Amino acid sequence: MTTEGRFTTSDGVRIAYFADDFTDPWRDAPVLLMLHSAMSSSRRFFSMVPGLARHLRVVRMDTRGHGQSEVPPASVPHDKERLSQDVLELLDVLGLDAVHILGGSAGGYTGQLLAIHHPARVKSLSLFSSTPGFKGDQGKRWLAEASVRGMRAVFGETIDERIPVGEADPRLVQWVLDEICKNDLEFLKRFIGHWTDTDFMDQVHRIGCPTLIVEPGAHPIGTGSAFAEMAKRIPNSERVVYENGRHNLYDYQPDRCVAEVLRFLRHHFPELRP
Amino acid sequence: MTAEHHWTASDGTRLFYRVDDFTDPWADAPTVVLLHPGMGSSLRLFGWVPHLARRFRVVRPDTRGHGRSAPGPLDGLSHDRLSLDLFELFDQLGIASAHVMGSSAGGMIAGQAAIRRPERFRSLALYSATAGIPPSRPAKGDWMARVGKAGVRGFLEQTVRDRIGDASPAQVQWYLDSAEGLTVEYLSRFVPLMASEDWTERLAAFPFPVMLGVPDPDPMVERAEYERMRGYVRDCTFVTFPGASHGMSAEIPDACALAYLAFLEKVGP
Repeated sequence: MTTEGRFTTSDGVRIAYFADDFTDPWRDAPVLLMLHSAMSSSRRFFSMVPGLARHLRVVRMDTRGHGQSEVPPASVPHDKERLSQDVLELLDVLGLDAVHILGGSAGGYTGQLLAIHHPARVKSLSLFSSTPGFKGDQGKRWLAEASVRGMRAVFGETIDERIPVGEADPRLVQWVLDEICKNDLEFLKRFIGHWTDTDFMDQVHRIGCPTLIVEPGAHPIGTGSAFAEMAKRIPNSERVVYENGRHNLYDYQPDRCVAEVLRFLRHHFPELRP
Repeated sequence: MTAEHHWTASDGTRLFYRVDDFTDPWADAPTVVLLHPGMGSSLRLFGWVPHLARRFRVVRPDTRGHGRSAPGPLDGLSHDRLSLDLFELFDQLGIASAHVMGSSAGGMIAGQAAIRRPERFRSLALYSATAGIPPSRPAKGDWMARVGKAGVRGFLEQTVRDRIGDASPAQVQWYLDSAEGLTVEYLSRFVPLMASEDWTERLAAFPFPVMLGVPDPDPMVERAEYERMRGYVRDCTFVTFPGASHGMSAEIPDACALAYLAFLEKVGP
């Protein structure tokens, strides 16, 4: 069953979440919280859900300003601590002490920061195309250009950085582009803008939980060398490189990503073995 | 995503179904309809869903009188009526035809519907389902007396081992809970209806592929009954599940769903 929920954060923002649970109701199954990337929503995880939700109670949260969650007014302060706080408040609403976290890109930034600052709440991290922040000019350039030429033009031209256009179903490419363009550009300027000023590589050595780092081999977005560097610094980590992979790995190869996560979790958590 | 819907059948009865759909939103996916066993509800088939819902729209109705579907007028309960419930649901969903799986009594309902409107079936899978309950199964003939004495829940408790094997107490509890809503009055019409006809020979007229999923051995059905059915089906996929109980669709849903998926792959969309 997928059930939908809403809650209001301590700073007054309505957050939407979806719980996908096909685990045996007579057993206690671990929870996997899925945190999507910038310009995305929990909907974009749809193709991973069936593969995971028989084994794990999956919870997908729409990050503030994305999907069915409210776009906070400009007057509401925005920073990475607030994004972590949203997740902690969701866990409290659901009565969950600790969860496995799967994060794509910016969703993984928040996942890493939670593992650093609230280690008791995070059992493991599965990170797809996610380094410690997005410092640099690339994101700033997107936003500036999108303001002038529109999101569809800018992200349409660069979509091959996210999905391999020659290989993927063209309908998938269009759908992802449609989903990207549903987002509020003014909010994205705040959201992505904040991450482009953030680099916490000097803190990732404090991540103590098992951590899976899936690296898109083509390194189209961000700093490619950061994946190897974080793998070196996070003690209990495993780095997997998807050769020639583009940024949105889970959009275009969901089955491979599902198999990776299950393999990783079963290796570290015997209760998940079949 | 799961969507839950109530709708009204043509005789005014409020019926319920769930749709689980994780198919690509840009494509039009085929539909499978899963019909739960008697004395259960669509909850019993939850474990099948993740195996199927990436490729198919998975529709799980509650048969009238079960789960969250109202029983409707009891004197109107017939195979014609149950077949209409299925086809009117197809109309609700805007589909001309579907793959249909029925477990136990759910398979009997599906088979009776297929006799009436075969063109609405792309394929039919019968799990632990015979073509009616033949008079040659006298040992089961005292069902209604036992249900009358023990109540629905009590009767299920007495026969639970045949139904889901050596399940844990927590799973048994869930199994019993997922039969909530059933009344003795309803079953006193429903069970004789299922036992009213042996339609094994009618299987020969089904123009679509048929899968028979059979517990080996089935504690509640003679193997010869399944073999006889097999003999009549034109395009038959016969799959046995060693050591499974009669209620294997709830006991071992993953193995059941994987075999079903293999069948559907062979059949095509």
